[in-house]
Amino acid sequence: MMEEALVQEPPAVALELEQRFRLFVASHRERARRLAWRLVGGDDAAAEDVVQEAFIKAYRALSQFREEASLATWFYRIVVRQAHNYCRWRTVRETWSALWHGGPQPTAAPASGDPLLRRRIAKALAQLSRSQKEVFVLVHMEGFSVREAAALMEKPEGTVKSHLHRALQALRSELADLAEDTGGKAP
Amino acid sequence: MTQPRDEWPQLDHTEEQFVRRLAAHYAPQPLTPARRVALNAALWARLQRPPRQTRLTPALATAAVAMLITCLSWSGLFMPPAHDGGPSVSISAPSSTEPWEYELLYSRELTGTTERDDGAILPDDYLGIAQVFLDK
Repeated sequence: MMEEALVQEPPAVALELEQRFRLFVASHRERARRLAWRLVGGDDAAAEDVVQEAFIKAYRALSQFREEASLATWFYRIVVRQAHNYCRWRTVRETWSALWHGGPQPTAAPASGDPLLRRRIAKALAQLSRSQKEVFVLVHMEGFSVREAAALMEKPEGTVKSHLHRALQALRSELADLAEDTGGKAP
Repeated sequence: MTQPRDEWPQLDHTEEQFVRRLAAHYAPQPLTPARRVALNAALWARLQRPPRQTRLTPALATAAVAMLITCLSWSGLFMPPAHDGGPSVSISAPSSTEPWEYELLYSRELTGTTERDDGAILPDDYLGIAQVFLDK
């Protein structure tokens, strides 16, 4: 069997946990990757690292969660924290890189779509506070409810709503051209 | 996490369009089946390995570098300033000082006498010079 935590379980239970984990990965991989990608500023490789690390933590804690919903809440909380940790390390790396090489090194991998607009959105999101950015991405981009986001971030719902409002105002101000009403023609 | 949306922030039409555009423009490409298989394989391969404390490695490395820099900075504080070409004064006694020089220089302070004959302690060449210039 694979991991120490599961080696201690009886084979039938371990098999059940493993099966449960495979289903969990299949259910949440795409959403977790998208969430991580948005939180780390559009970096594919970093997002995949973040998600893999969160899955490994979820696997180790699997037996402690009987309900899939509570495991999912915990898992997405890990994803958000991992993404934040990644961003902090990236800041340190970029600082050192600027010191040694005389300028910041590009970190985000190219992706499809309009790269200029994507960079603008990433930059505007990066200018928000950590909580505002996380709440905005969770609720407005990933479709979590306010209550889910509040549970995930361990903050009161009122605080989440306040962060959402401020984040939206800041982004509309920063990305005013996107905020103009074009008759509902989203790309 | 799969519950129906119990509460959703109230947005007007413009805000809703704006949020929708952001979400549409700022999204990764979906995983290809091959990429998904590769990621799953990598995940299970990692799970098969025993847990290691590798996550501490970057933190420890950074802490070590920070300590090194701190030590270097602190030692720099106690180093003498760079020599700017000006005269330097040493307070240490020259190692070639003869015993008679000490006696000549400090004997008055030590004994409290004001006048004495230095001829007894001066070397011969100094005595010769003293005889010429001091009429001794």
